[in-house]
Amino acid sequence: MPDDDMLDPTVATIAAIARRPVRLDASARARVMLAVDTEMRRARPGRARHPFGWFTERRTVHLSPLGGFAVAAGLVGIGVVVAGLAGTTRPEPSDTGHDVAPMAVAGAPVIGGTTPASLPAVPAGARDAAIKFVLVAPQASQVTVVGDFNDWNPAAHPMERIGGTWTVTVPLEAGRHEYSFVVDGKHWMPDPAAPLAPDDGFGVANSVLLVSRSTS
Amino acid sequence: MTDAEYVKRVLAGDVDAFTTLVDRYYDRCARFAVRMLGNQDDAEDALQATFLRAYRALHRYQERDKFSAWLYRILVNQCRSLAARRSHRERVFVREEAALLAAPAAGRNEGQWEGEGEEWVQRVLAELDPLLREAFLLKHVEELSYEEMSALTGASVSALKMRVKRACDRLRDRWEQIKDA
Repeated sequence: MPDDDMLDPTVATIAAIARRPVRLDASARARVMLAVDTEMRRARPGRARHPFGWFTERRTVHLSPLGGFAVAAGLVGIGVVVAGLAGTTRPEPSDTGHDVAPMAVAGAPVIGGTTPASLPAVPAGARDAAIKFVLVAPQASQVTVVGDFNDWNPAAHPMERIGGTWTVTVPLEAGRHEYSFVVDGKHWMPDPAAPLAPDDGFGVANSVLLVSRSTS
Repeated sequence: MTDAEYVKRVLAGDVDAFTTLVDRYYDRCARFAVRMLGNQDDAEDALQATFLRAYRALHRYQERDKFSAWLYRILVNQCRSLAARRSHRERVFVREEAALLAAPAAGRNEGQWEGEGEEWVQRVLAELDPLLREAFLLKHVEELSYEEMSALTGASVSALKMRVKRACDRLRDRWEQIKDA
């Protein structure tokens, strides 16, 4: 497991500089303190509003047509994920409950059409499923897969090139995993053939992989 | 005296005890706000709103939580709100690439690079997506654990690790790009 606190020297320098005290205008502190002091004289803490006022007050929500579409799309996305889980998760065996099998294959071409990956056999009783990630990227000189399973460390799982196709097999525990590909060390890209995780805005999209437990 | 004890005193009627809490956390909060928002005016607004909201909501503070984490949660939300509002105005701190690369020639001297560091760090931070910048600052500037960050932001530990990783990659690339220019 990589050490999260190990920073490369450049980032360590940036962090060290950012940790220095900031040079705020001295009067800014006085203004903040004055505002707080005024509030303290005006009201005892917690008396300005009922603790649950935000939830109980009547509020009007303005939603544009585009916003409404986005909300609807989001709900559909949630439905697909839930349906995927419900349709593919099988009951755990009563004795061990630890055997797992790959439920999905990560991987799709960037160029040149879909390349389905063949799944390696999962030994009976194995704790992790062996998942093969596949990306077709003939122009790339280096591809790695990063995800919550390797703490987003590009050095953890470099992919092997065969022609224009890059592959790596990673043992994954059952459950939901987010991942992405890193091309040439700097370009992060989600898997074009996999669903995207919905929870990371600002253009930071990851792919989602579900690995179910197996009873066989 | 601990933070929780000061909170009890405030709630018992000693409102002046709150100024001690403000004094105790003002500098850290100011640093985060300035690094996050990129300018003093917005940072001051965020600080003022944070401490006022904290005072008004003090009765909701649960002693089992760290006061600092509770206060940070308010601060982070205030910074997010201000940043969202600011996006409708001129983007104050995201400069043209040419401006970044047009640093004084003397600043490229190795010995003087450190002196320029403050301004340049602020600029490369400002170029990050807000969620990446927030995650980087909480982890590597405020030095919170991922679990604390998760409780504070509502994001999963996994998502936060990814954000920090991406922030580090982008900061490093941009910094080296500037240095090489």
